[in-house]
Amino acid sequence: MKSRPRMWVQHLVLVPAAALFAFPFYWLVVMSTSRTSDIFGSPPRLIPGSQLVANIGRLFDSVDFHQAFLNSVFVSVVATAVTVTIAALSGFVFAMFRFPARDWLFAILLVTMTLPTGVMLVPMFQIYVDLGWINTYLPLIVPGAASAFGIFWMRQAAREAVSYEVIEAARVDGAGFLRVFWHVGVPALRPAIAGFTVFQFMWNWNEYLWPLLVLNDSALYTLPVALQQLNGTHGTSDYPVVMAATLLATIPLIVLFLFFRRMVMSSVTSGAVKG
Amino acid sequence: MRLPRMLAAGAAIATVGALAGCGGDDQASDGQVELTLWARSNSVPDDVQQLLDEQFPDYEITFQDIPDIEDKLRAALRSKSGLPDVVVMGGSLPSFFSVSDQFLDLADEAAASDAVDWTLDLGLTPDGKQLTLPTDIGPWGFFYRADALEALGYPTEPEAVAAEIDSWEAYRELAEATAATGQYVCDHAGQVYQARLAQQGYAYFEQQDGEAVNAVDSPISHDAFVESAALAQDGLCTNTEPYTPEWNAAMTQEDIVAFVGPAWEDGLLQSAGEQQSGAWRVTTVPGGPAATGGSYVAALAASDHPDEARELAAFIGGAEFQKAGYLDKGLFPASTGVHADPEVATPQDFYGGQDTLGVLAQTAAEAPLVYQGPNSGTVAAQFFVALNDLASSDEDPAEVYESLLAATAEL
Amino acid sequence: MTQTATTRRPGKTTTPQLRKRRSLLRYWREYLAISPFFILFAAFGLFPLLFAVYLSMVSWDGLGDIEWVGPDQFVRLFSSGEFTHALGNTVIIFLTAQVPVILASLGAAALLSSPKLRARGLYQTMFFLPQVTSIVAVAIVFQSLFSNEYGIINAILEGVGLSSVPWMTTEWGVRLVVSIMIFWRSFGYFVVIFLAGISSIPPTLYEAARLDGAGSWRILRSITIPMILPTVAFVAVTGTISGFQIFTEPQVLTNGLGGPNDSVVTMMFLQVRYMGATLQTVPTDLGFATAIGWGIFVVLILLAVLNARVIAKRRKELS
Repeated sequence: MKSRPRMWVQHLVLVPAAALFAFPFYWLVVMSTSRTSDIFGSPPRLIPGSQLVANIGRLFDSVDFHQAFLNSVFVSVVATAVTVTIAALSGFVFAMFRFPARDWLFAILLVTMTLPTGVMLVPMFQIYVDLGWINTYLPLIVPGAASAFGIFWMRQAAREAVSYEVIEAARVDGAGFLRVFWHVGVPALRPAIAGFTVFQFMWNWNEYLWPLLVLNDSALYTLPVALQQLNGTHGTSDYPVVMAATLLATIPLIVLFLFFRRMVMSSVTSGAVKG
Repeated sequence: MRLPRMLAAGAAIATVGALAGCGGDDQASDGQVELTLWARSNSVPDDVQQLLDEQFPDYEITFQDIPDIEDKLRAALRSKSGLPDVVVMGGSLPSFFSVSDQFLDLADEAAASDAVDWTLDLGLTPDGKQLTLPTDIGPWGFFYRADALEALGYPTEPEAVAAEIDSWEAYRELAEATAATGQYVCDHAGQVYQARLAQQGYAYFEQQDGEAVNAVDSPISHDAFVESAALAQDGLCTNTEPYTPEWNAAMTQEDIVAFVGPAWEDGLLQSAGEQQSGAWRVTTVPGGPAATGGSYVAALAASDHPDEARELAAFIGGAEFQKAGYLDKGLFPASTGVHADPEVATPQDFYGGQDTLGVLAQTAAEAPLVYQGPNSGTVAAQFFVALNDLASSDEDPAEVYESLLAATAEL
Repeated sequence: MTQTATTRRPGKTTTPQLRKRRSLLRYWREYLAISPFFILFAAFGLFPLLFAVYLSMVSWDGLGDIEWVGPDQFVRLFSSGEFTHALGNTVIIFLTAQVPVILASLGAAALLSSPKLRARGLYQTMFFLPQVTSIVAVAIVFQSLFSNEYGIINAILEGVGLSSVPWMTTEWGVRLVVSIMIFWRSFGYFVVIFLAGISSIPPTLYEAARLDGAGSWRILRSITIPMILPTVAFVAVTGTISGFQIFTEPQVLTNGLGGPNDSVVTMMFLQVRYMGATLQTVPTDLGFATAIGWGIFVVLILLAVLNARVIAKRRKELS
């Protein structure tokens, strides 16, 4: 009974905080349902308008949204699945197995995260040209398939959630390498895998520069490139259409988050593994 | 599984020269000419594919809609691969002059073009190669609300306004009168500054023997800078940059009742000033006509069909294409033929029935050529940022000007 | 497939060399499992890295002729003042945004993982929304909120009789807005990482602690944090790396101008400028941009060493 008033205090903090965090998204909704002159009026109108359908109509007239959406889904799903799988397996092995030069290899991996990648644009592009990867999705999937960030995360998560004893026990039972990973590693890493999947999908989904540079055929465009077509040389003049497009492009990310949220919070499964 | 791919990659790198030589998929098996066009969809007419197919029934033209086209073009030029046959681009042309060998010379097409002379000269490299033809241009206008000027006792008809506000001194008087009523005829000091340089044909560099010579220290820039900064510091501008939410807010809330800007801001104005439709007019910029380049079409030397590529470029830089672009998207044409076309010069409802093409076309025809050096854009950006910062500081503009001179002396 | 990592039985009659090779071969599964990263790095990272070494010793506008300048770019890095100014800005933004957001999100994750909290999922989702909201929309919202003349915040301040604040036109004003924007955007991200870590703590530990009468603060200090130390280390390292590479927020908020006196030009922002940003206030020089990249690299390595030491020390203290 002691916790009743305490919970009130928590909500007293959480409700305004959550409102502050959600406000810009709410405003995105308002903008995408308004006309330009409504958005920037004084005082700004804070309730959604009635222009959503009109704005989406203008969007669909100027951009092949459906095709770009499907392309983005394909690229993001494939790239994310590959990256998360490799990260989980590699991270688990880095954390739970001993082998020569392990710590050195891991240190190298960490250092690569700090390398000046911004300027690698020029040689990377040349590599893709030489491989004949221009106008394909390969540059968006293959080079990023092993994420140092993801491997690092999975390694740390495995150190928290899996104990050596459980692995030894599994091995004594005759479980092979992949079986140990599948039956011990994956369940214990579930929260981290879920979290990383959400992030990795989001990053793939929002990637702009490489799709712009390597894709030539508009039929292959991913959403960020297609939506950039709404802008002219000097910038945006039709804010509501851009906002409506942004809103539509965000929905899959929210659905994905809602889907994986429960897994991030699945303390029951991993609690059992921690033995 | 990965090894074969690695080997394939190695082989690909080894044979890339050969591959690039072949040009691969450009050659159709039945011998039909295939051409690829890169452009922003916002820089070409709506039904561009149809327009091209009708004009060139014998060629197979692929239009690729590329946002941020200059970045992509640079990457392709650098690796000399994946280039289109023809490209429509914006931004700073001189930055492409160092790779002019990768472009075709459009001298013959320029000679046959009816575009305003200076717009053709913008695409001329220092060694005399015609790199581009203009597709749309940016004559500057003084956009104003007739009702606001009327309330202040000023004339409202475009010609009368141009005669009344014919100098930057007269403009400042108007700015003071409007600011007293809580409204503004200046959106950003940087815009006024830019217009003043353009109408003198000045962009920080002079061409001498094919070389760009630093001429940053100039009375043109000095006076324009100090006086524009004074406008902002004296509270006569809203200090909002076009293409930002703040500018839209200032427009929607009717704080801006006039501004100087290039023709392409028409789209921005019609969107933000939707509810002020019919009140706006446009006339000549105080102090004389000013204009800047907009978009250009170029043909690439890597094309397998250089003659056909030039032909396509000439069509895109020609009157018919520009007319369609103006009617569909308000892209201001460089072609004098379109300027004189009675089908195009029509009354605009947003501008209270004014034929805006007429006044801006006259500006385009009378504006001086602005010679752009490779670093003109960089210096211009530094002065623009300085004006932006000055608006809210009490620093002396003349001192800031001196420090900018020092910073740009080496360019 | 029953071979284990812990039982090693090298053959008695083999030479040391052969023995070594054999013992390495014994770990082929482990090496295979971690190989994708190293193979992909060798394929797509090594050559660009060598190219980046070369680029830092030339001057190049990215299109025209490449000019060899030797160590000049590094001399310029230290002497021009631009880089040190950017380093200072980065540290300020790191301390005022990245550090607070990590600490706050740790607390929030602890709070949000409480099984008794009602509407937990709703809160989690709302805190995560900024992560998925496109940066374009975020920039418009923040500019609309903090604009000097047309901002909602200043309108409210004036409405309640306070004076308006020149957010976007003073050095510290724009730094504060950038910090708020970073805090706001990355909060949900760190919360998710911490929540994932907290999920692996056995609930029985909490129950036992509560039975002992431990309060929330004590539970956070003596159960949550010690149990998720690996995650904390992960966030410390990656949070530092990303914090020192920040540039999106200041760039979009100031329309690429960098704020008054370049007050929010971070190291990465400076690099992007020299790589040829849209608003070109400096001539494009990929050579100098690369030198800046190496400058960031050195700063990060120094910080990583420092970080590792602090973490190791704290771990010792806690255990």
